[in-house]
Amino acid sequence: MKPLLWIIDEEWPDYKLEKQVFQQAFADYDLHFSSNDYMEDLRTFGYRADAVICQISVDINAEMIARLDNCKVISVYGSGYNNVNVQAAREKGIPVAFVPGYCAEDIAEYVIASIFHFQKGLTHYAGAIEKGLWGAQTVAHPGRRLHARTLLITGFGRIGRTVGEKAAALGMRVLAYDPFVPKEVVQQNGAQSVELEEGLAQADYVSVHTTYTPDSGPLFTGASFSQMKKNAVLINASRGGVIAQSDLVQAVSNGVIRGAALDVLVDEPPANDDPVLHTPGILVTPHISYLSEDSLAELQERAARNVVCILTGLPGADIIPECRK
Amino acid sequence: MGFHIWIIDEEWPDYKIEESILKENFPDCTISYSGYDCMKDLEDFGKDADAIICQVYAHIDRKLIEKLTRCKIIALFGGGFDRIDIQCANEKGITVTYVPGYCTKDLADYVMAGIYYFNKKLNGYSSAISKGLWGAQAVTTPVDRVDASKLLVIGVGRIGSAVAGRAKALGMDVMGYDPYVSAEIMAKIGVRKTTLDEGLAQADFISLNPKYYKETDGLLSMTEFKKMKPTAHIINTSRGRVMVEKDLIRAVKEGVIAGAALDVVANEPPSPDDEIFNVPNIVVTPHISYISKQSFEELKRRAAGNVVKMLKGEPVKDIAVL
Repeated sequence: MKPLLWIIDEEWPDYKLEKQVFQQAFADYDLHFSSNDYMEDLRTFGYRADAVICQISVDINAEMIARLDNCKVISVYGSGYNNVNVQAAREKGIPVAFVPGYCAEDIAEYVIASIFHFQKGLTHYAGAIEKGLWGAQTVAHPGRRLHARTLLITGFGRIGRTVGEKAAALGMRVLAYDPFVPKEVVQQNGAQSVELEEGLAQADYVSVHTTYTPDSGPLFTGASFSQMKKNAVLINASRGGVIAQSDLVQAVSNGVIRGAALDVLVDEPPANDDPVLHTPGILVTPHISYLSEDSLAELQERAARNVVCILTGLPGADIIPECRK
Repeated sequence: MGFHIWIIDEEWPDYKIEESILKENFPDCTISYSGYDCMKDLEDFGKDADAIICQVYAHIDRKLIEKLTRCKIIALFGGGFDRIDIQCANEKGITVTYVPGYCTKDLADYVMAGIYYFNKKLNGYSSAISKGLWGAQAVTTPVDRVDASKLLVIGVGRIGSAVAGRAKALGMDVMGYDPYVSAEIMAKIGVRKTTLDEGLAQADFISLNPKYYKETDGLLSMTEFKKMKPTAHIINTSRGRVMVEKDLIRAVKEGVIAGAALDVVANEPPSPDDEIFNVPNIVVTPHISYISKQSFEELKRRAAGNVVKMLKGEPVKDIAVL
């Protein structure tokens, strides 16, 4: 067997790790690459592929899936897979594989970095120094230290719990809002279970880790911001749609809350004149919270391994819940 | 006649906490105030003070101390006492107190903030975004995450240990260099004792937390920077002169090491056009790492409390010794 493996991707600089995994599993294999605009390649060779490996930004629609004659797995580079028409894949009997939790640690670190950014403000002092100020004179109102701060986590799954663990280790008080997680489980993980309103009223930092479904609409709107403290900071490294973004821009501009750190936006990539990029107090990063040498290596390796497991009949592939028997 | 207490300071906006403690204990005391340039005030009224409370920036040298006629205590607002001639004070029977540990948590938080700042570079993406880059394309070289990074703590005392504790809790591998702390004591807080050279060679981050005195003056110079990884970052919350500043500037500019977060510089207060403020990858804060609502309150309460105890003849802790 000489499998045809098809990678659709515009993000990775190289594929060393995938090749290592494939070389160990297959005596011989064909590896093809396409950009996100893959229709031409689909017609020339893609239709014969034994496995499709793709980035989560690649549109794997019903039309594409219908043309796959030989495909035994669609393996996505990511823990989300709303780019794949799961229904069509199921109907054709093609399992969809994903890589859950590969970046829980990275996202948790991003949240902690954001808290430190606002808490310690290492880059906020250049102006004061330039004016010749030094020491306590540069701090008009000393804030309370991290130990005296409260973090609210909305969505207490794998990532939310990792964030909570780190925040608690730093001495923060951790509250969690998640209607699907029992109080006892929240407590076992070092946090205190609260209702959303109660948590918003008490928190200095709010970190969002709820799962996003387009039909549920944003969890955070103008009304939520007015329930928060004036000095509160919102951190979002989940999905942009969880927050009503224009409400957030308004809330920060008007001093309803202090600021936000956003790694995800409603429109990605954003237009240069998107107000969210030009609001003092809102820090935007380009959806990189999951990236580290370690997470990328794990992601590339596990996505490749999912392919190998399914093509060789080994157990251990991460198949999405909808495709499990 | 009541006690005369002389406060020498240019930092605090008010002295409500100190005044209320002093007045509560000594209702008829007099409190006077001076800036750091206080030699004239010394002649006018300071020389007859019963107690001095002063900022760590104030130079309390032999010339000043020798003029004091009845002073029993010099109480410092701070955890360091490198600008006080303690020997001279002791010769005159004056006790010098300081306030160790009041800002341990704040300094440890600052060090962690420095580590996350360099590891995550949250502020570093605006130009990539404005060029239309998004996602992995915006990241030139992914780095190891914090929990896969190594930290060297130089000076494993109270503050160094607190830094190590936080770093361990956040998953880092922590090494310690301190000739005065044993491997067993370090092991108790999960720290691996190393030699300086070994630690420099392995560390992704270095936190400077030694006491500043002759032995640690210029502890890190170009020779040491060259032993470090080119990707390594230094965080200094101790005293500026623990490093040779011009060597640090050159090391960062030439890529010998990656960068530094400094809350202290060689000359404080500095001049705004000092070179240290204009080096890419060196971020400087104006000696504020210790500041929080809680640390200020504790500092003021304890410094004033030391004066109260001394003037009442009660035993005083927090005595500065050389």
